[in-house]
This record gives sequence, C-alpha cells and structure tokens, in this order.
Amino acid sequence: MRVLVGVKRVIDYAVKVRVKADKTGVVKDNVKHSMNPFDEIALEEAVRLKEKKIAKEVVAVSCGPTASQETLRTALAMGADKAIHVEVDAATAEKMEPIHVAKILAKLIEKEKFDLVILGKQAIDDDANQTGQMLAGFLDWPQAMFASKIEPDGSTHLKVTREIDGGLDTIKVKLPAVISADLRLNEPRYATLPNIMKAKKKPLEKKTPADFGVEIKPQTETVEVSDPPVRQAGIMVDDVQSLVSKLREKGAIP
Amino acid sequence: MRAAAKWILRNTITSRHHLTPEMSLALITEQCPLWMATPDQCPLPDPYWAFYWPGGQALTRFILDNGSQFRDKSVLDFGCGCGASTIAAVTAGARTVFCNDIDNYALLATALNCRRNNVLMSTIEFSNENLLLSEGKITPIPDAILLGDMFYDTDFAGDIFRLLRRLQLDKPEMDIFVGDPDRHPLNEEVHRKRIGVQFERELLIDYPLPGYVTREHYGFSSAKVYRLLFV
Repeated sequence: MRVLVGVKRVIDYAVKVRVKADKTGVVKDNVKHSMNPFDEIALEEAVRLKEKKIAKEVVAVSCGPTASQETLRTALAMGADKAIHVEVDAATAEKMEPIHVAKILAKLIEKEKFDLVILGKQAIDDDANQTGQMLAGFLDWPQAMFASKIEPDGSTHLKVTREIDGGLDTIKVKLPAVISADLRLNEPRYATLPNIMKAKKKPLEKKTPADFGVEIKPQTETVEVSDPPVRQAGIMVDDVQSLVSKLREKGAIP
Repeated sequence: MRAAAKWILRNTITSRHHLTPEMSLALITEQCPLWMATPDQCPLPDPYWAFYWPGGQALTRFILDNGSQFRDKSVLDFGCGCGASTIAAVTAGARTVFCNDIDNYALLATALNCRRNNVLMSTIEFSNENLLLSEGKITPIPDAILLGDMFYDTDFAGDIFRLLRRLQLDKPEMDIFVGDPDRHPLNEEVHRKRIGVQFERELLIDYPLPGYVTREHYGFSSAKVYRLLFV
C-alpha cells in the first residue's frame, strides 16, 4: 500500500500571531514556521502503518513557497520515504485555497497510484478544514474525517474510529480512501539526528501547479483581517446583594 | 585531531546494542543528548561515523560469520564510518584493509574503535582520498570491496556503480559486498533505471534487525547483504 500524506508549512503554534497594520493579513516575515501539527499526526500514522508492514511506501507532499521544502525535509526525517514539492511563489501561496490544493492532490493521485491519503484535519493558520473532504469528492473515494484510530480490516478495508459529540463513531471504509487526522490519533515522534542526516539524501521531487493543469484562481476575497476584540474590563461589586441586582439588571438571571 | 578525539569520547557512548555485540563501538545513541539535536548543533559536521547504520551492521555481521572468505585477502572498506567492517575484516585475518572515508573524523573514530576492541592497526591503511575523483587510480585493486549502507542517494549511487564496474572489469575476481536495508537507489526500479548501470545482485543473507534498531531507523526491519556483479 502506498500512502500519500499532505503537509503544510504554517506559523508555529507557539507564536503569538500579529495582524498587519493594513489589515490584509498576518505578519509572516521573521516568524517561526513549522509543520502543521495535525499534519505531523497524519504523517506519524502513515509511518506507523509502514512500520507495521501495512504500508509499503510513504510519500509526503506540500504545496507552497520554496520554504515548504524545510517542512518536507522534516517529514522525511520523521520517516517519509520521498517528498514532492509543488512550488508556488509567495504571492500565489497567499491566494491558494483548499480547493486548489485538493485539485493538485487529485491530479497527483491520478498520475501516481496511491491507496490511501492521510491529511491533517485542518491547518492551524486558516482553519479551513476542507481539503480532505474536497479531495475525496474529486476522486470519488470514501472519506473518514477526524480519525482518532485507524486499524486494518482485511486487506481491502480500514476501520476508522472518529470522535463525535457524545461518543465514538466507528466506520469501515473501502480502500482507496481519504482520511483526516484528529488530535488524539497518535503522538508524533521527534526527528532524531541520524534521521535528519539521512533525510537530506532522500529524494525530493519538484513540481508546479501547471504540471497538474491547475490554475490558482481565488474563489474568495479577504475583505479584512482583524484582531479579536479586546476583552472589556469587569467591575467589582461590594456584596452578594449587589451582584444579584447587577446580574438581574443585565438580564442574566430572571 | 586531539580535540576531536576528546569530543568523540565525550559525546558518544560505548554501545554493544547492535547486530555485532562482540564489538563495542563509540556511537551517538538514544542515551546521548545529541541524539535529539539538529546537525548544526554538532561541531563535527555531519557525523555519519557516529551511527551504526543498518546496512553496515548487516555487512559486519556477515564478515564476522564468514571470516574465511576474507582471510589473507586485501580488502577495501569504502566509506568506513565508525569502522565496524574494517574491524571485522582485520579480525577475520585480512592481509591488508584499506580503510577509506572522505571524513577525517570517520578515520579517527575508526582508529578509536580499533583501540577499544584491541584490534591491531598494523594491517590497516587509512586514507581520506575521494576515490570517486581519483578515477581508476585504486592500485592495487583489492580482492574485496565492502560497502556498508552507501546507497542512500541516487546520483551518488550512480557514481559508485560506475567506479565499481570499472574496477570489476579490470579485476573480474574482485568481490563486491554490499550491506543495505532496502534503500531506494538499490531497490527501486525507477532509481535503478535513472542510474543506468546494469548489475546483478546475489542475496547472500537477510538479517532481521533487533527492535531497537528498527525504532532508531524508522521502518527498516531487516538488512541484507548482497554480492554485486556488473554485466
């Protein structure tokens, strides 16, 4: 089984994100970037499938600017066998939407045979949560989103457990399929020194959206990006009596 | 070099956790702080010699188990790394071992590991020459060439194959032993085609790797030893 894993380079989760003065986006220069945490989980699961001999090869793919190659090297150091970089310039990367990535991945999967695609459920920068679903749609493959457990069910199916409101949903999907990884699927490993060193030598193929016949034409327009509203300061009350009357005044209690 | 030797002794630990436990080697293992480091945190650049790669482990195990094939032979350890295969060849009674690595620190680590295992260095000839550049100047051509985990990059593998093919043409009885855990240049049709050098490989043995080695080298569960024949 060949597994494709999508990895995205995003602003590191620990960075305090700042909005640009002109409100067109967020400040990305000189800010630490790393692999989207959900993609790390997706990749870890693929590498574990390989270690269990269920998967034969794990390929990592990233659509983005030149710097995305760092993220792909991390993926290789974490255990992917090869990487594909679909390069776009920085300006185009800003305009790229989940539908473009899904189209590119769909074409890639048509060209090279894959049996399973694992993606992070969403990227922590735009929080779109669309790529996996759209990809399954384009390919007409079954999808299992927000997986918290993946087990083989015979050689043709996978049993996927999903966390839903108030419980667990266990579904059986026929391969080939698209799976998206939720937070509790696994705990990703660290890339160790020997694996980082070997990752430098693993094959990294470069492509462009044009190679897949995909044009990056935005469907949405960003009107404004603004900071969340600053929380208003509270007031101090003297005793329970005044607390109750204040709450009644605000209509919080009858 | 003295400072480098000290650094190696300080930053590695002596390990017997590998396929050749009769040998103790100075390695960066899971117990070392550097294991979790990035390459730029390491003052000696790209310390490939500080790890006992799966292919090297299998090849060294093979030499130790088949010592008679190496007795009184001249042997070239191409890319010696930590020197395990060199030590095994000396132990097996090789007449001369040409120990080659372009990284001087690898030669230093090999010398340190020889001393650690009480292996006499009188039969070893160390060289840091880049054999790929000094085309055809390998004289005399050895009776056997050892390549432990050298095929990790397609272009580099192509260069080595072309050198090996020429050497084998000049000396057909030369044995080429390769230890490899199924890395892509040796194993995948696409990459072998890209390299464009035809060869046959005879599988000599397939060693299952212990669990901790598999864990350290994500995904490889066995390492094989081949004899290469160029056609």
